Amino acid sequence: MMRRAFIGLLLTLVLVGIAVAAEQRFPPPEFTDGHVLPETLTPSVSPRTMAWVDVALLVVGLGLASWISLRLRSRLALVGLSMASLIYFGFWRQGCVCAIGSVQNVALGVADPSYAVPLVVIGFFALPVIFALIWGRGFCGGVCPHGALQDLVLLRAIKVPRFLDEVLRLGPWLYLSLAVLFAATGGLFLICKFDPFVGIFRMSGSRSMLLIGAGMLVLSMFVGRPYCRYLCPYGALLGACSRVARWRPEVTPTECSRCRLCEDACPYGAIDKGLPVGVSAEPVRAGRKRITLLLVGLPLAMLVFGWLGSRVGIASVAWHPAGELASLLEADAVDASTRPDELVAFFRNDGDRAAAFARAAEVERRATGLGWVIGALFGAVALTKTARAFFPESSPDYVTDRGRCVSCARCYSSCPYELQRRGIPVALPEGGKGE
Amino acid sequence: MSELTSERKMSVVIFFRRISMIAACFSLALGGLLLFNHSRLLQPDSEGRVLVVEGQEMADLKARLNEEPKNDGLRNEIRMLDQRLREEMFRRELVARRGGWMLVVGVAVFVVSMQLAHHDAGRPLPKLSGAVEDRRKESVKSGRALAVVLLGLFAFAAVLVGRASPRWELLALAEGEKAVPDAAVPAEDSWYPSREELASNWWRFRGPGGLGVCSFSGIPTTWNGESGEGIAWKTEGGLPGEGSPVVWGARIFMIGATVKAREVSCYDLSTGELKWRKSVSTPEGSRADPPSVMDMTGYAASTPVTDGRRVFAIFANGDLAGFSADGEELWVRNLGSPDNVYGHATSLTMWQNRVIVQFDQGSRGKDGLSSLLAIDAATGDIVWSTKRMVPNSWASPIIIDVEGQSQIVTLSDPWVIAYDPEDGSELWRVDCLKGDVAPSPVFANGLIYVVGEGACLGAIDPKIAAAGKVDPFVWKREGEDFPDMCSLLCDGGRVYMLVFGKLQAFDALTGDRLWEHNLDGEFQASPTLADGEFYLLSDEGVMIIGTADREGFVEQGRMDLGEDCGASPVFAPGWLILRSRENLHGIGGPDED
Repeated sequence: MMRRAFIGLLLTLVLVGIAVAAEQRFPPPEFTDGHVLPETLTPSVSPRTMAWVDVALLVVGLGLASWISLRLRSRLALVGLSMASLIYFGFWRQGCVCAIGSVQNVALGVADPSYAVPLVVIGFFALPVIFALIWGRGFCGGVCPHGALQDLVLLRAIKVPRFLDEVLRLGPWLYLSLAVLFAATGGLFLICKFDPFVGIFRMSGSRSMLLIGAGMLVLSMFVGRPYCRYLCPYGALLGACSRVARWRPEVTPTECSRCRLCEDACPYGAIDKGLPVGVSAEPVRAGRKRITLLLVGLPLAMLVFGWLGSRVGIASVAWHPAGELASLLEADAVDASTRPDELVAFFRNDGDRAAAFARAAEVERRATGLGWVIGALFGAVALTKTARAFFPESSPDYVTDRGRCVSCARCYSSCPYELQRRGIPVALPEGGKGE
Repeated sequence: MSELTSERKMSVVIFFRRISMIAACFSLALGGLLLFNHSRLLQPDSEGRVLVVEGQEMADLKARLNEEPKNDGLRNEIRMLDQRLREEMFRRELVARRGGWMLVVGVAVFVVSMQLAHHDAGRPLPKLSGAVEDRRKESVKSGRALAVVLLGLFAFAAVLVGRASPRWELLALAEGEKAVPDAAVPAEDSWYPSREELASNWWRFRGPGGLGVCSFSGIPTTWNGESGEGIAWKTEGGLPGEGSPVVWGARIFMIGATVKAREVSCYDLSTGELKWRKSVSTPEGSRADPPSVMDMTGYAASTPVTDGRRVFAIFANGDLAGFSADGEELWVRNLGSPDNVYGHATSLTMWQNRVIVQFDQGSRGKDGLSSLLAIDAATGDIVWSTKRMVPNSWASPIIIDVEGQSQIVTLSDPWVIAYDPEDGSELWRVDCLKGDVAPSPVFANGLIYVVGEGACLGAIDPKIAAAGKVDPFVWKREGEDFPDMCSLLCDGGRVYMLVFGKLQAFDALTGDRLWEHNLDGEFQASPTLADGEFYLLSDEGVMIIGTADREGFVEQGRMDLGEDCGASPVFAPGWLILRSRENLHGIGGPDED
């Protein structure tokens, strides 16, 4: 088998070599008048074609990631897929189009009917979501170049205390709320502006960007996937979607024996600890208490955070082009001695101050309304997370957290039944349910 | 055996750890070098702005060049420094690119070797951590932490943005309620000269109506620049300019400008004595770095306009100024630095008490940078401004009267557009021009005669154009050589154009070509007709005087001023005023006999 594969590879290389050499089979004539043959240039692939190739490869990657994590259950294969994704989507395509950033395009497209979201961007946004709804967060585990980079550099994960982990996991929702608010008002694409890894992918960027990227990389060596867990806004969406997934990665290929061997197997804190063998199940009242807290607290949380969101929306107009121009005009009315180029261009055109202020007012109105909605949603999510933190869902078995598991397959090798499935002789836990 | 296996594993671990340490040191050192290289690549200037190529040295040299625009040595110095900086930048970019990839490889080797060094291949199962976690205690702790953080986040954000409130709406209302100049209500000083006064003075580019036709008598026909014969006076012209002078009564008004200065001058018609010369003050919005213009255009290519009491001028940097006839600066404003590839050259005109400014700019009409403005002559306020979706052009507008209604006729690529001077609203437009539009139109026989290089020569009936349903061209000629600069001339019976040194004549009502006369010269100044004679001023300062009819052109004489000229001739009763590149000449004068 190996010999055939080797011969096949050798033949392929020889044929490719012949094809390359074939260019010289008919050498150009020797011109005596000094004419120089122009260099043959191969036109690059059209950017539009490459975008659709990216979508196709995304689908293939998502399919492979889901299959590897759910059926093949191979960490090595997933590492290979991650590296391929990192090289292609990260370094080759330089991190754009990016599923994480596509949230903003979609938000703007929803809020502003005049903005046409490219189909490719919609594909990058929707496909991982669809896969997450059915098969879990395969995108995070095997396709996302940001996640792949963090996953591959992880050396020895420090266990983040649970309470700190819960608090920090508010970060992605906060970031998502701000990113959607800024993008939907047409102001700023926060996610793209503050992407810590794109400078690494493109080998260029501002000094601060490169330093933040390097810092995040160093952090990733000791804290598992810090960007994914505590910042990634798209991960927050995928996590919410994967909670209803029909299939999801399970630590054990069979029934859980509650041997506790996988307790610390996940460097991302995505394993819900069940009950050890011999410990009876706790009374299940957590669910009722959680619902009660939500029913009572949700309207208040949505109102309070909705109001806050509206204020943030108003403040965000300062970063919107219309708001920036209005601010410049307001300052210009006080002191017009040093007029910036934007105002020189403005007065060269219609110079209609009333119209400029009206445009800023329109953006302000839209931002206020959007702020209410987004703030209320954030309040609902925050309260839900608090309720779940106080009254967690209890399961007797050790299972992967539906929302947090990134389908990286790291935990499989900690399960004795998984090793048994792979043909590795191990002693099964005594008294375990799997016997 | 197991001991050997353990020893072998240990040596592998030590090997990979050493590799990872070397890779880490390499990556750190390389990373530091790249950061240093990166910081040198992007150099901030004195204002903190990051410039990729230029630094303070280049900025200083450029500032010096602004003061010494003709210093070729300085230009060379700038070019050499620019080349050096670019080479340095590209070299550093290459270093950054290659170093970046080396860093990636270094970090990858470090990570992989560290992973291999810590790989627990010989121990398939993890060890248990110890005691069972108290889930209830952890839940309460997490929930409290979340609640505290949320409250804290809310409090922090409330302090930061809680007082934010909508404010642009109020400002928009306040601006909207500000008094807008009502075009229907005349300004405080609504005086303007009568038709008779306008007809008897050469008050704008190419005289009354912009026709280039002089109704005055006694215009001199002989002079000699070298001997001075026939030249009543010659006076120094001040700052350079290609714009023609204008005359009202006994005063000649002229403008000149350089990259740094702009001035308006007034001369006595009879003696050429400089009555006053005033610098135009720098208005708000006027940029310190004026736009670059062609040498042939200069910074004062537009002809000023006067109503006898005041004179108005526009310059290439967008400054528009109004002076009293006695030299008092009444107002000055800046319309913005025009984006004009050759430099702004369109001349001003007036309608009643408004200065009409055709301010076309930009390389693409759809950018919407161009506009037609009406400026209150007394105050300099914008009475109305109409946006024009046209690129830069150099033809000057004319005011025509069509069945009692005044119209401003403008030329640009690709339209001839007429506007109502009351409110700037568009009346009609005709698509017929293209490219660089410089020759100005003329109005005669109730027709607007237009010409454009590479476009057409034709006669538009404005009444038909206003109706908009039928081709408004009474006649149209295409596919021939048309002038790129000289405006048309019409004596009622024939339309004349100067192109490639030839004077061509066409029937004014049918467009039939009548004749062509080779003048053997180059002409920037537009042809003029005075006292029944043609005055055709060549770039060398030779005035060709002649007469024309349906049969042809008959030269009466050639008068050599002896100095290069670009501005079109200017007339007053008994006088011919010529602006050469350096001087102003008064030819003629009262008849001593």
